[in-house]
Amino acid sequence: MSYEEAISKLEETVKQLESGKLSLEESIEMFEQGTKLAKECYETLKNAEQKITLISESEGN
Amino acid sequence: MSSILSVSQLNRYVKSVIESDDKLNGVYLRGEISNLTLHSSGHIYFSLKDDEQCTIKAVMFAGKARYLKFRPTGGMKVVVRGNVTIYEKTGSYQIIIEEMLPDGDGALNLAYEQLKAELAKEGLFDNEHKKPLPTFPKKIGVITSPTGAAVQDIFRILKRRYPIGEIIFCPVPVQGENAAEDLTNAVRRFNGTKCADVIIIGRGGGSIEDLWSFNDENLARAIYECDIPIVSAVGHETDFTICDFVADVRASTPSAGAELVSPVTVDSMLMQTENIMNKMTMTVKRRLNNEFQRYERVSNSRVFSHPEDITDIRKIKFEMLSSRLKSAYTEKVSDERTKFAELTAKLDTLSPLKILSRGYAVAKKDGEIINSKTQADINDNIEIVLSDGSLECTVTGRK
Repeated sequence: MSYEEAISKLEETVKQLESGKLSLEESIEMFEQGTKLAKECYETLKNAEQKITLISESEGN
Repeated sequence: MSSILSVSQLNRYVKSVIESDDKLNGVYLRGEISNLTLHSSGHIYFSLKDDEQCTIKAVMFAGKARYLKFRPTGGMKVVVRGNVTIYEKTGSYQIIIEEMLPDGDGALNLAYEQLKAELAKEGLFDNEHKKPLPTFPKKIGVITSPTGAAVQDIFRILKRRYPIGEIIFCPVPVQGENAAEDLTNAVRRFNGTKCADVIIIGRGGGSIEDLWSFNDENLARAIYECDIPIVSAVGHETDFTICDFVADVRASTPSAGAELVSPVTVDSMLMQTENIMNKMTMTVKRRLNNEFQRYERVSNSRVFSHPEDITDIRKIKFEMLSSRLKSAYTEKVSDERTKFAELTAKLDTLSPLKILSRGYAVAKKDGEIINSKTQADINDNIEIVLSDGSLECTVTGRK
């Protein structure tokens, strides 16, 4: 999952939690899922190493 | 030369004389353009005039005119290189121009201003055409020299602000003869392969000549046609190139360009993640708290705090019943007692002992009560029961 996907999924999770429409069990499940997503985002951000790819004239299109 | 010539013969002769003169081939002239005609065929006709109001007719054919880096206008001061010749038909002599440049120090500036005006008129700089930069680019294209300070600045800033993005680096010369073409091709390649979400094109500062490749018309068109948003980051704050105007966003420097393509830094993303996490925790905590309160309300209800309530009502009922039973019973018993007392009193009065005590006696023979004189013979032993005991008697007579 890309960072963008993870963060938007996390935002969606929070929105659902805030709606208060979920059952308690669902809320707890959502919370667990959200925690996992947040951790994933955090790891992605913390451990990101800049990747540099070189393209040159000879490669063509 | 005694024979009579035709006009065309003369003109042809003079033309051949002039054209064979090396001094009149590849001649440089300086002057001001007047009576300019831009023919639809692409040929340019005008007169070149000097300070003394002397003029010469000038022609630049389409084949050469199309390489002009500027658009000639009336009154413009130019330097031309060309060959002097005669136009046979009118016998007027003229210069066929091979090359033409604006005159003076402002030559490049002029060409720049003209290209800028032309492209602006075509709509290449229109704001409606400008694309917004992505907020979270996955791949960032970089078109610049591999050796300049610009590439170092860009890489350093992206590493600090946005290491989650991949850099697609296309190294090209940014000045020199082929620079404009290489820059143009680089932009086209990115557009063709769509291998980046945003592109920075640029270089560090330099003289107007150094930056000249970024004023190329083809480059401008390639940028205009590119579907990927482009940030132009050429030179310093004060340098403006055509590339800057046509790009979607102009950055004052390569460093600023790197900042523009990484609008959201990893640090702020970390903060955002943390905020979301906090928000989520708060929400769940509040929810749990609500549920707990709900539970408390229920569990503190009277039914649970005073469970005896449930039995009490039955108890009371039971007690009422049992007391009723008791009183009913007692009543009954006392009735019976009275009755019994009455009966015993009655019985008492009927007791044989009572009768005996009044002087009556009972006669028994062989333990059986006898109540007739016929039941005992003379000399029979009978028992006479009195109130306090009995007498053993012998019958002596009968009456």
